[in-house]
Amino acid sequence: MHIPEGQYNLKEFCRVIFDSPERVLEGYHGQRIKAFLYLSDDGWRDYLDEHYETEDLGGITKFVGKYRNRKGAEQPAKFYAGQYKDDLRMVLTAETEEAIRQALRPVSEHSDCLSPMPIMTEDFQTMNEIVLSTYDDMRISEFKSKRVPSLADARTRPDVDREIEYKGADGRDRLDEFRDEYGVVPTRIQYEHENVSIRIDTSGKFTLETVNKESFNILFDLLSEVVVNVLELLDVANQIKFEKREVVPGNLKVQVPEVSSGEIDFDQQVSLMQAENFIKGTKNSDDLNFSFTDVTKQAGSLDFSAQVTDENRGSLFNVSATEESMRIVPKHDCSFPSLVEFYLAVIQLLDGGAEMRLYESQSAA
Amino acid sequence: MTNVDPPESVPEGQETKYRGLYGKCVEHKLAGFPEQSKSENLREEISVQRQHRKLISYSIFPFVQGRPAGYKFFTAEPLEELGVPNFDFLLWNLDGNVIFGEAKSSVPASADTVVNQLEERKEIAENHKEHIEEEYLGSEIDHMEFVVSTYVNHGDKIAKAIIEEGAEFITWVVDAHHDELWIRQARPTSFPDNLEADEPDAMLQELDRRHTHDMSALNGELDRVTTSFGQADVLPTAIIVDQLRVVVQARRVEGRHPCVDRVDIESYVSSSSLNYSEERVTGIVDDLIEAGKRINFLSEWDDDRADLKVVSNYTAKDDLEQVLEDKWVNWRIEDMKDGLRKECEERITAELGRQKQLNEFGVGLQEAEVEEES
Repeated sequence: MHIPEGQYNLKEFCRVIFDSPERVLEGYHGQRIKAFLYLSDDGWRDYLDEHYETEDLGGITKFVGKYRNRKGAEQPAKFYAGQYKDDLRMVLTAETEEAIRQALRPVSEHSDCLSPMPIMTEDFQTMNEIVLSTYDDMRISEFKSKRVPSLADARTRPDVDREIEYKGADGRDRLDEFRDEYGVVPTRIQYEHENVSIRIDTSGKFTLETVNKESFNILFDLLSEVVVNVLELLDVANQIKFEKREVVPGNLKVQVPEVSSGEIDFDQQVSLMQAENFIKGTKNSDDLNFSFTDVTKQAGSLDFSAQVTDENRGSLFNVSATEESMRIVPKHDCSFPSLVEFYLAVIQLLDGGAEMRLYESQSAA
Repeated sequence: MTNVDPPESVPEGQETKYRGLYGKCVEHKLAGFPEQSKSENLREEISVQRQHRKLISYSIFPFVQGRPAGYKFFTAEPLEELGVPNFDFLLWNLDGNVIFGEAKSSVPASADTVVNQLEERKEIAENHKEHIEEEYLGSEIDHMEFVVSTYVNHGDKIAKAIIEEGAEFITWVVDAHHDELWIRQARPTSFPDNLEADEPDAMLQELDRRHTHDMSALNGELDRVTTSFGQADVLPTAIIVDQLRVVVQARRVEGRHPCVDRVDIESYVSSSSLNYSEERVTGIVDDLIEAGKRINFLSEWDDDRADLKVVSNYTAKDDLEQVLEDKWVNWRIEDMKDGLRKECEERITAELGRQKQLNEFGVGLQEAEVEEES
């Protein structure tokens, strides 16, 4: 993006983009803007300084990384980070997927203070409803949806875990038909309208294919809808931690453990096979880098426990799951991005309706 | 390793004979060696150990996460540093009450042997009360209780044996399927003969008394509490292969080489333990590295990038965990085979020695002397 020098806040920055998209996007192949939302913590700015060439444009931080294009030449990749809310950054860029993959993604992958903002499947449905009720004539040209029993009933074989990708001009009707028939709800949608073409998905990425005021308005409207739950998730993840506290009750200094563990409540009963597929899925994914060791698994009612490492960040936690929930016990260098990313993996690969909260010990009786 | 060179004790001129006899003996012994089942047993041993460690973890979790009746998890394997039989965990409520806990992931049919073992450990713990006060807590112990924790399917059996033996242990049971810990549900299904009381009500009361903690708040707060696998990853007296998992956890990858620094292992060990002295952590790490080298899982790395290399072509942690198990099993199997070879060596040496001695002196020799020579 070619942004004129200036001191911006996020809104003003967006205005510069949509006021003169021709100038801002001049020379850019795709002519589209991508917005990524990141949960952040205090050290995020220093982290960018360490890994990029940075420049302050008022409330916006420009950061430039490098990537290799298809011809093998090294090129700069430009990104702009602004504050949407405390602890929530919006990164805007016009770079290609390849540049994003090489230059932007590694940031959050290894950082202890930045993590991609996941959107809970339920919030995503609300976002979709907002778009559709605001624009009667909004078309859906493409979507991906998956089975989430708590959000939709299915007429056909409701027990089957399924995922459907659809392309077609009648996507809006199809979405409803698939939902009624198969109980699937969308996790990625491409909207088309006279003036607007925008794509949203549950991993916190928004693609504005038409760069105009309307697209940005939709983006901000949708964000305001999910922000509460997302910041709550951050709050939960930040509280999941393990510390050794020193106490001096007598004449010795001794340690007592202070652990706050997390819990992911499943929306549907999870079977051993699903748990195994989840492990496989994280292994085969390009984006995730979790390893599972010390695994105990038994079918029946699910008895599953393992030690999980976030290989990118080196954080370590233990999980133990029943059919109903999975407890997360932090062990070593456990920071919120690892936990948020793990939760994102769970909602994408295991149970779309799962919710993460702080575990409070309680009698099971 | 088969050493066909005869030991020095073999008389001159007998070397060829020795080789022949020794070779036959080894061949015979190895042919009869049930390698398959031995290695299955060893893998089973690893699995039992894992079950045990996880049971400890499930048992202490409520005291790591919270503070039921003020009790916190204090340390795993108290008194281990003294080399005496010890319990698996120690809980403490900071007001002078302690609970020693023993985890039994399985209970044999004759559960009374377990009870006897527990009684012995209890006595040792009581005898070392002062040591715990002075070296661990820094304050006095007012009240000690003893707990045996087991998986839910063994609860009744052990509870019954405890009552029958007239012992005083409280049974906790862990239901790993539901991640629950129960402290009052484990009661014998029938009244043991020795539970003396005239009235059924009184008997029930007595059972209740024996099966619950003196501190009623603990009973109330803990019964059927949700629990989890979480802490206690390194137990100093666990079999070494289970402890060595910590090396897998601590490994990093340089180029294509999985490797680890001593200080990383140390940091993992110390974050998995509570109230171990620095020396004890150092000792555990020393033992780990030494054992890792012995089974050819670790080797010194003459490279600036790390102290030690993990001997494997794999880098993924789950693969490394498998490599670790395989190496340990192989090492144990080879050790058993070496034992057989040693037996052959001793037997053949003794045989040849005896022949010579007999030839020379025409009298028998005591076997002990021959063995000393070999």
